[in-house]
Amino acid sequence: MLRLGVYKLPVAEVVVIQTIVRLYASDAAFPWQLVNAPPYDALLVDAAAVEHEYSTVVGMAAAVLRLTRMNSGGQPNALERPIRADKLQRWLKSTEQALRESRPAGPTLDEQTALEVEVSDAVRFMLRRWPPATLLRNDLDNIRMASLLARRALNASELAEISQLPFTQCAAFLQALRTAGVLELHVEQALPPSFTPQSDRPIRSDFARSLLDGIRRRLGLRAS
Amino acid sequence: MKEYKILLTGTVGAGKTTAIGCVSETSPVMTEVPNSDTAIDKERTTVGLDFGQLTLDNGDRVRLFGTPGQARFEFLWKILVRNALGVIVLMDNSRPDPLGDLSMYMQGFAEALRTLPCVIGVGRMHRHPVPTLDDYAQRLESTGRVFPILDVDVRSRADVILLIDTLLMQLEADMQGETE
Repeated sequence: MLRLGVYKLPVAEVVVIQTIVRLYASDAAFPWQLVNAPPYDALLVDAAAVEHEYSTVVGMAAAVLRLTRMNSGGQPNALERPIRADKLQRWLKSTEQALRESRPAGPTLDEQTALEVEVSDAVRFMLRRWPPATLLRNDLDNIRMASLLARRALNASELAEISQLPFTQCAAFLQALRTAGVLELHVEQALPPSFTPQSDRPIRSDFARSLLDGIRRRLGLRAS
Repeated sequence: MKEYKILLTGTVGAGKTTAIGCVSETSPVMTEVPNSDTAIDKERTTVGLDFGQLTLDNGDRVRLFGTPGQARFEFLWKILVRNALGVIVLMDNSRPDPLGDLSMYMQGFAEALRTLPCVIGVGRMHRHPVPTLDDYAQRLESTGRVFPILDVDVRSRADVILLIDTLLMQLEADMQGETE
């Protein structure tokens, strides 16, 4: 996968870009994922905001696309606002091509870094079966992470947040599960494990975190 | 004060009553009677339901209900599981067909398990290592379900707490979904 980052863009535009990437990600041939931390293969930046630090910004990624104001006169590696999905896709396609050509002897996109997938915000994972005992090793952290993934599609960041375990540990665990072939990939927004009406769900909206914490405290377990 | 419920079910002799006794703050209220079923090598067995409880620091209570194990009490399972936080299914690996037992409980609780968190605790694995936990996982996978499957000794408080903890983790995942 190729890593696309954003830098000093307004939140509204980040959401637009996130949506565009998610939509295109349904195409298996689309190699980009939006990530929130370096390293980046490509970076989208606000031209005005990085005007005085452009020399630094160009060193952050192999390709940098500057978002400029409307009618700014079509410069190379610049995209005029408002952001148009087709133009962004065209730039990503050409960048992908350039990156491929610059890495002729490198690994395939799939092989490039399997771990990269685990740190993507756009891609979530869910267990399709309970992991082998040899992988879990009766480790409490592993069992807790697997219990979460048995119930809901999560990415590494979400897994780290809920489990309160280090991100790197969660990413490594996801990678191990992927290697074992027990994960299924969810590119779109995570869905609840069932499609029953909200009112029928056992966990109601007023089901407070304090209950879970209360039970944990009562049992001598860590409370969040 | 609110009351919540966690249900423990599973085969006769798997240790539902023992598990409840491990964590309950009160001695489990038991409805055991001398066993008259000659097919089951057990002196006493549960015919109604057992329960224990945990009182939380805000006064709320979590009740632990143990169902009778026999399939003929399936009607009672459906009543007891209503409004439960989750289901703990205890398996006895020394029985003739533990995977068949698992299928029976998955079927008996099928409707509830469409939404409820569940964990499978497999006992007596040290003397009876087959079927393995992976065999259980494979059987569950064939039914389209993914639940935690753990090797447990229900006489161990730590193991029983681990079962409850895996239910809580699943509830955490549900809460995450509701906040999205």
